[in-house]
Amino acid sequence: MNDHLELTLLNQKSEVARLQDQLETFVRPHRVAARVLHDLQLALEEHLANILTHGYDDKLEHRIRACVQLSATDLRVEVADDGHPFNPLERPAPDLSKSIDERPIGGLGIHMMRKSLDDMEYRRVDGKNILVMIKRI
Amino acid sequence: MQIEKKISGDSLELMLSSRIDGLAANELEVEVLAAIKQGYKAIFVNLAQATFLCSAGIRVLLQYHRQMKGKGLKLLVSRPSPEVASALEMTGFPELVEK
Repeated sequence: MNDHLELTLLNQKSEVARLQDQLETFVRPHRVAARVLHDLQLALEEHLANILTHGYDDKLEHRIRACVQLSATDLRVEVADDGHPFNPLERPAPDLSKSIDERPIGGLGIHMMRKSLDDMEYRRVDGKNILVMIKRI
Repeated sequence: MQIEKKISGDSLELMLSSRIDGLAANELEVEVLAAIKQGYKAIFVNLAQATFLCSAGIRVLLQYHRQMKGKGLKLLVSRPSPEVASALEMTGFPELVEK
């Protein structure tokens, strides 16, 4: 079993749902647990929200490339964007011990990515952030 | 996304289905703000049919949970789906759920 899907997105919020729908369609004919798909979609949602919110200072159109790959052992998505250098693996974990009234409202997204995925790999190549999000099947 | 509303006295239940992604979180915020303006004393966000809850959705719930609580009112998640319960659990916010 080895199959893949490639998609180029624009830096617009509506594009995230398009990727999520395509990912669902791609996975449907294969035997992938609903939980695996859910967790990967959650991580993707968070990562793309971060790129769209913090990645760019200009108002220009940017292209974000997503490559989904299904192997015998895992489902992975590689996302490449030309936004500011940003390595989510270097972000500190939020303090979950504070009470609901004291907790800062930010920083949850990357924490959810860490919790949902089995592995993440980051590299910066040719002015691009490349993040691989891996979920074992 | 569709948001269904059920009113009983001064409490409002908002029923959301499908994915609570970034865009749906914005729609939820608009509905919650409208409900607060209308003076409801309790807002329940029913997530039994929600298949997904991202951090933007959690931020909306958290922000208005605090705001309502500060005024002696309440906003809580009711009947979370397993996916929603796990998202609230992993971020340390099980208190957002109605007991």
